[in-house]
Amino acid sequence: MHLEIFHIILHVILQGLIYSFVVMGVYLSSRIIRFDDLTTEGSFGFGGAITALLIVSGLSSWLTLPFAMIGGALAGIVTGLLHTKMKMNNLISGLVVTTALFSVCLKLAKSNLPLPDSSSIFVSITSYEIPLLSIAILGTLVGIAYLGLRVLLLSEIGLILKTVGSNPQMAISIGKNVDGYKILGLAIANSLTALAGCLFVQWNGFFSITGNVGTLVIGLAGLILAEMIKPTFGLGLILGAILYQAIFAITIEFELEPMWNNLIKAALIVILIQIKPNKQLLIQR
Amino acid sequence: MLKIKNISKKFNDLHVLKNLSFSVEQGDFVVIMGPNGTGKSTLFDIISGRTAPDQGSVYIDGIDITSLSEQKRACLVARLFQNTYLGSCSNLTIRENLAMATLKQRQAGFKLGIRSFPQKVISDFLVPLKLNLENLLDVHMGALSGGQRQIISFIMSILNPPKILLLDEPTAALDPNSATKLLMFAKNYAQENGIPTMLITHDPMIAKHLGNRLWILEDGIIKQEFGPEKNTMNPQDFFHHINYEALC
Repeated sequence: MHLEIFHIILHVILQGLIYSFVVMGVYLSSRIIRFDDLTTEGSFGFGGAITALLIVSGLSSWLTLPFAMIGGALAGIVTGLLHTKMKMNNLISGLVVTTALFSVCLKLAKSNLPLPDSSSIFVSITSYEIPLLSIAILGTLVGIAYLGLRVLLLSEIGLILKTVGSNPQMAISIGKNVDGYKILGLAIANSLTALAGCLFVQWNGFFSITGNVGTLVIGLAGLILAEMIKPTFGLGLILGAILYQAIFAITIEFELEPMWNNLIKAALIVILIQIKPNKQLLIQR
Repeated sequence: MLKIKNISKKFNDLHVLKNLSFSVEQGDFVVIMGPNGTGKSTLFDIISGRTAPDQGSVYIDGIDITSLSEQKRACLVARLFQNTYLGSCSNLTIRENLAMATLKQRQAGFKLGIRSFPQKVISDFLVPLKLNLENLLDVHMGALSGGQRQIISFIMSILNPPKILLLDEPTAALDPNSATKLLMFAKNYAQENGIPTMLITHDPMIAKHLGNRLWILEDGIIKQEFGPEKNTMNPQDFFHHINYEALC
């Protein structure tokens, strides 16, 4: 029994660490450049499809990480271009890209694509010790991404990204290309999300075309929890993602069929928004 | 310095500016008054590049900048808005905002943002202003009063001295003390540095004391003009017989 709980906790931490990349991406798009980005769902799947295809083609599992990130960045750039150059609403532009990426993912990795044995960076998920190794690997990757994002947000570029989100006129007044910075923010956000998709596929050992369903909700819920821990940028982004997986794991104890999982995820975010102290901000945005 | 030649602008059937031409020289402080909807802010929008004119040209130092975007004109034209939140970023501190203003004439990089904070701002501007702003450098702009925000926004706009300064009712939301402080600061800066300045206001007292030229904009044209080069009366004389209510 104790061993089972221990495994559940490890599983929660692993899933939480994977989704913390999504939470960081959603934080960058929705809180820094203030762009409600529906590309998240598509770039998560796209990162996974690229990963599965490359691993099956014989590429090292570690090398799939940068390729997945580039794929996600491209998805973000396309969304940004549709929004800034073709003047499409931010929700519509993200939706268009996510819809298009569904076909791209089907072409790349079909509806299901299992990875060859021992081909993921996590090596195996069956033994007792290996999940700890997986957590160490993931923790390192999350730490690098977190520090990278922190450095970015404190840099001159970060100041402009924040200004583009909260006062675009100010960014124009200092001669900065608002569209360019929006696209940059979306590219970084979606590269993080695609990295999560890459790791998700490697952790599960297969790609599924429906694996990305609910990603945005998980990212948003993790972000809401993160903001309850600390309203500004901080380690709360990672803790929020883990906490959400923990809450979700508790609902599994109700022993409902897996088909209800997404309904539970949707219900959880509604509950979280209701109890979030500054929920008005989130609803208005 | 600034030359406007035959500018016209229509919004649907509304002819906001009609074949407007003028020039503003170094040392000029032009005050523009007129009822709402007469094209004052549209004129500033056209000078700053926010709006393109239907016809006509904008020149700065003899160079046609009509086709230049607002972003590219940023180092030539500085503008202070009526909305005290538009000139700065509310979720950044004063220090971060001032650091960011130094990026007007160079590319942003991965360097720590606040390292660009121009230390001389403290001795050159903040201490002489006696508003205690030098002790609030790490306070978020959103937590400041409207007057404090406008002062910081003004300093941000002049960190890289512009060719022309546009003040678009910058004191409309401020209390009289803050308004006086900001305008005197702006006037002194413009005078000392010889930067041509244009100010939109509805306040006759401000107009009376600030400008060396006064224009009454109405129906898209400069209906009345007072100033030295027109060989007419001084702006101050205008106020002896003006009907204030008609202007406000």
